[in-house]
Amino acid sequence: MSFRGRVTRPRLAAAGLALGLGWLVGYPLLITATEAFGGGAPWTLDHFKAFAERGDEWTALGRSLWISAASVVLSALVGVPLGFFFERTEFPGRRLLGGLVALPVALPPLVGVIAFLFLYGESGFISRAVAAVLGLTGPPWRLAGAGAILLVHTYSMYVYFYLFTRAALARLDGSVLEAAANLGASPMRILFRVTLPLLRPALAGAALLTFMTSLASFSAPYIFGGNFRVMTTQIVASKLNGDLEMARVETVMLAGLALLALWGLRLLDPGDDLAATVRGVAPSRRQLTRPLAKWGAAVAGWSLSLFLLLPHFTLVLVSLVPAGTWTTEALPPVLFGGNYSTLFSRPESLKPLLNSAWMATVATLGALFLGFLAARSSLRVKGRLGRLLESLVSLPWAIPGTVFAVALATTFSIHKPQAGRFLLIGTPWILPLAYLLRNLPLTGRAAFSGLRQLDPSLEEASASLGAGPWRTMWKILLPMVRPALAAGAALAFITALGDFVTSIVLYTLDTRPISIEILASLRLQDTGLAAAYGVLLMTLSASAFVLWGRQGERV
Amino acid sequence: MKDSSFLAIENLDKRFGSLHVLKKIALEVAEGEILALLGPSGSGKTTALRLLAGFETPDSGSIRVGGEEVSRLPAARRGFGMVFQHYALFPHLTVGQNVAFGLETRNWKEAEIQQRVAAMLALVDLADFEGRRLGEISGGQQQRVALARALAPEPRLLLLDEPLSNLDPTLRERTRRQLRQAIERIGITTILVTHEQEEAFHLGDRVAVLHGGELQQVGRPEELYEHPRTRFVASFVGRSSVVSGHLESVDGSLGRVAIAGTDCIWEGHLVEGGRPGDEVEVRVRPESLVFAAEPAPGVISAEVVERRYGGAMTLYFLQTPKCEETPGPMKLEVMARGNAARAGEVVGVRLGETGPLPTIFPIEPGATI
Repeated sequence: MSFRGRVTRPRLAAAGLALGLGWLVGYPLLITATEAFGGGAPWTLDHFKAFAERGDEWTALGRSLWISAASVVLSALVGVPLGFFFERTEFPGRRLLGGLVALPVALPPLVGVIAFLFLYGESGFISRAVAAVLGLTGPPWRLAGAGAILLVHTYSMYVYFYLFTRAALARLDGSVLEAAANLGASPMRILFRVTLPLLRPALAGAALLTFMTSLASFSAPYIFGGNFRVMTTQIVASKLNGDLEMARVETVMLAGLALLALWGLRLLDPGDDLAATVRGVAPSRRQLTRPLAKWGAAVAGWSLSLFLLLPHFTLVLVSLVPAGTWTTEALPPVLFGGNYSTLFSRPESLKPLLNSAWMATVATLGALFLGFLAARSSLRVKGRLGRLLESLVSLPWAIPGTVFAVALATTFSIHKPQAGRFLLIGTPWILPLAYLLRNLPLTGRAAFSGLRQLDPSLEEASASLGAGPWRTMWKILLPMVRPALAAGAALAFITALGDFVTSIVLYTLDTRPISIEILASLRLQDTGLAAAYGVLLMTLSASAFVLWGRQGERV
Repeated sequence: MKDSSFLAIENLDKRFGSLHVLKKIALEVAEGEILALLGPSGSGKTTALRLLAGFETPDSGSIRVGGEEVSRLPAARRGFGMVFQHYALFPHLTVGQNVAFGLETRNWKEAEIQQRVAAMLALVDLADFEGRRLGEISGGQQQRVALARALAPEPRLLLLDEPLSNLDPTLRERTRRQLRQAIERIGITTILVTHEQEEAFHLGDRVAVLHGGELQQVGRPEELYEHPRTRFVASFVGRSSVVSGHLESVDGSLGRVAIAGTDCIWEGHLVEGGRPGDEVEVRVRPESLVFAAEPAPGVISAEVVERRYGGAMTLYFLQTPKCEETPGPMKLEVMARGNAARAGEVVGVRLGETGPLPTIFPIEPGATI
């Protein structure tokens, strides 16, 4: 075997993989963009002109932007102080509560939205309680429009700021803060001149994640938006109305906005410039010694956690309410487990569960395989080809789910093998494919970070002991990156299991997943069944997180 | 009979882009010999080891082991054992599983694997550690597990990459002794890479000094110390003072030098020959200079500018007054007992009779000392 041959084989494999990923990830977006310009028959700007002339389109675009920006601000206002509180203050129950506070992230978006509906909606628990206390005859508020969307966004996205702040504070070099104090800085001055500037990379990361998630958010605007349309709901409305040309133009505009936002927000990220050259020990937590402060903090922590867990409790309670038995009472008069037995005994109710389970499993396995292969290949060949593979794996993260769904619907709605297009719409394979591609960044990023953390000499040690590339991969690399892969797979699985945004564009009656069935149950006023589906999703999500945690502990 | 060129490296050359990291290296290592590759950072010693291991491929040249050309063989098929700088132990496997890894790769039978793992762990004094996880053992023990793992599959050649650099000084001394004993007991041909002279001298039967990708000198430790062949070896291996002078006479490989600014005539080894009258630089080891009780011919008067106490012996840094014949004051280092002189004291120094002879290099055009 020649030296040249050994070098080119991994490069050839990487080039093949890049082509395949390009076809799966980039090609549908390209097709959608070209078709928005008429697809060459002939090329035209008419669809874009029509978009530009419609005021509601600009309004939706503007709303997407300001809702995302406001979500970032509100999430930061909640998440950052919470992060400081739980990371820097020691009080009874801190560890447990610190974990509970992150729970909203495990709630699939649609489930979170319906939990809010049951809690703060016109006939929700809190609304009824407030109305009863104030003696009102109607609901005290309407959970609709921008306010409702922002409430749900803040609830589900403050966790990014909370987790990032805590992680950054734990990494902070305590001696830097001591140096500032030694130079005479007051606690407030240390906070604003030292701590917060050092947290900037973490805060920028959380802001980026929140902004992008918010821009792609669909469930909250769809359920609470009504006439308050943002770009994601506008796209689905155009598609459902059969205005495919407009849907494509809206898709291109939203994709452009997302990429522009990503680029803009990346400019704010100081990158590694702020990384300390010498790693110190994290600052110690403030011990609350006075009983009043100590127990006050504990009570505040517990109350906050209970408040944050209210949507979860509500969902469980509503899932135990038989259809049509709860009308004007403050609390449901009858509770039973019938909704759950219906879920598993009625074939048409069981079907969405089975659909979601197999589609999420297949998609996760596929994303795991492709993500690992791309990461391994990219890190082996390095250079431009390596970077291309990494970009392709990450691309679906920057593109809102609605955009991806429309792109897949456009590309795989005709059979033209010579153009790399196959008829997948209407088949059981389009949704698993969509889930796979949407979750590729989760498994791919996990594989990249897992492999990057490995000492390269481990692979060399294995080779020096006579192991070939496959044995090294099977016996050394895979077992060692298993925690990272398990984390990525768990997140990918729960995301696919609870997916709503791509499902609503691509599902068929035979492949309808849980989220679509929740929506159908809500429309039929069968809130108990919808909540039962929600509880099931929530439980599976929590189980996936526990499994993730356990996998992480093993090595 | 042992093969005197069991490992033969010829014209080994390697570039990384525009960086020429290894320049036509040629070396021969006898069967059972321990050769230490010594050099500063960037000298090419690690690249040489990685080429030997098969983790890099040479641009040209050959590597033969027992007569077999291996430079194009993948690492997995070379049959060499390697101990990595940070050990590269597999953290998800136990001590025993780590040692067994190479044996399983070679499809040894289970019973043989168990026997071999036990024997290897006994060899490195870790007989009861088979079931331990890596987090449960110390750095020194991890180093020995790495050695047992590398030796278990009966490799043809053992490669050690800075094997002791992660250990604290006390542990390093003990582990170095154990490492040497284990290698000697097995009698395996070993190549060791290190940037520490003490480690190279203690572990290596011979030492190869690398600098800027070039092989400077190969020899037994005392050869390198007492007869350095290049200026780099003379300065990198051990301490020395550098003085200038001119050759008075030449007798084979020995030369007599009149030291500039003094009435001293020093005899030393001529490294690159020379003719009477040539300007030369003379490198003298600190233990070759001794304090003189009183002024006499051949004694240099100098002030003690620094005293570095080192227990049994102390290193004295001396400086002569500036004179017209030298561009600057002469700086000398003398190794003597701890109370031989005080800082600030003016003392007499002469060339002793017992230390290594000075080494004489021709002065490079334009160079000043």
